[in-house]
Amino acid sequence: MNRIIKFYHEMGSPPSFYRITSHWLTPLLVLALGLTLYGLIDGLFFAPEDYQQGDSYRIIFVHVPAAWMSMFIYAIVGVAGIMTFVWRMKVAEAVMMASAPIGALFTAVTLLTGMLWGKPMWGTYWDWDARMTSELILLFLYIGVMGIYAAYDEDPRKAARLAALVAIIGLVNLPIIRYSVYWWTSIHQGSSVSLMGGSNGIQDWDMLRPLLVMALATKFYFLYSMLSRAQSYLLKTEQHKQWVSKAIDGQARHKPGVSS
Amino acid sequence: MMEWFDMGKYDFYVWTSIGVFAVAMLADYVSVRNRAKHIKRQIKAKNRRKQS
Repeated sequence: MNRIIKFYHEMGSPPSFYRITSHWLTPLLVLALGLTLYGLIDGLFFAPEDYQQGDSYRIIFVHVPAAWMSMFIYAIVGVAGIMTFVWRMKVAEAVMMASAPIGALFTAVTLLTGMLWGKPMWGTYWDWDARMTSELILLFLYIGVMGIYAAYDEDPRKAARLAALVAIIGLVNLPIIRYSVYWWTSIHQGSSVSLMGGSNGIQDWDMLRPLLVMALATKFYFLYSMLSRAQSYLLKTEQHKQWVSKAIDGQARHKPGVSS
Repeated sequence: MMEWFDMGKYDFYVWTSIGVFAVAMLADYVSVRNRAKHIKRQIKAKNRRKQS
């Protein structure tokens, strides 16, 4: 338990956060790339056809992982927002603002691939249905968090607190997205896989495996992208502090070709 | 070989979706790398100015 608390405190300090996460970036990227390749090849070429949707269901292997990430990342933005607001943790600010762009991107991918799946299955690209509308609102929330931060550029710390407020209020949208297909009549199909209820939509392991692999791959890619952006965020906002110069020069010293 | 890529009448929808996903991830990767490079170069330049 002591080690966990110590780790938490270390991760809360920008220099230690920077030093520790530097070692994680390359392994995370390799894992993400490897799993994506394996998951896509498995899903597109080896998974069996769906008995109702034929080959069109293969969109699930990018659509559902992206949709899961869009909500998972917003939960992280919200929790980091609470930490920013309540404890004014600098690393939480960095994590919040670093998560927002990749979350917005996953939301956009979810909407686009959903439209491309909707056209052959429902006969329309878009319908103002509860699931689609709430996911679109999620995209606007991400843009809102980033927009508020960018609009208030005199003081990044105050900007982060304002953005955190938007992020926290937006958390209410997550259960709405999750249960939208049950609360309202929707043309969107229900969940194929759920954490507690097991897999009641997809019965075939050969279909489920690539989906879970892609879900893992997107998690690893998110961690890579978020940590790297958080590092840049900390370097930028702390650039007058000693540790930043040390961290940058330390990296330069390892590469003999680069003079500092 | 080509029949591997055959998705019946859903070719366009499936492959465009995969394309959207791939392009989005690649764009994010490029933007992450550029941001890191940009800020590091800025700090290095500032440090050099301070030293001289």
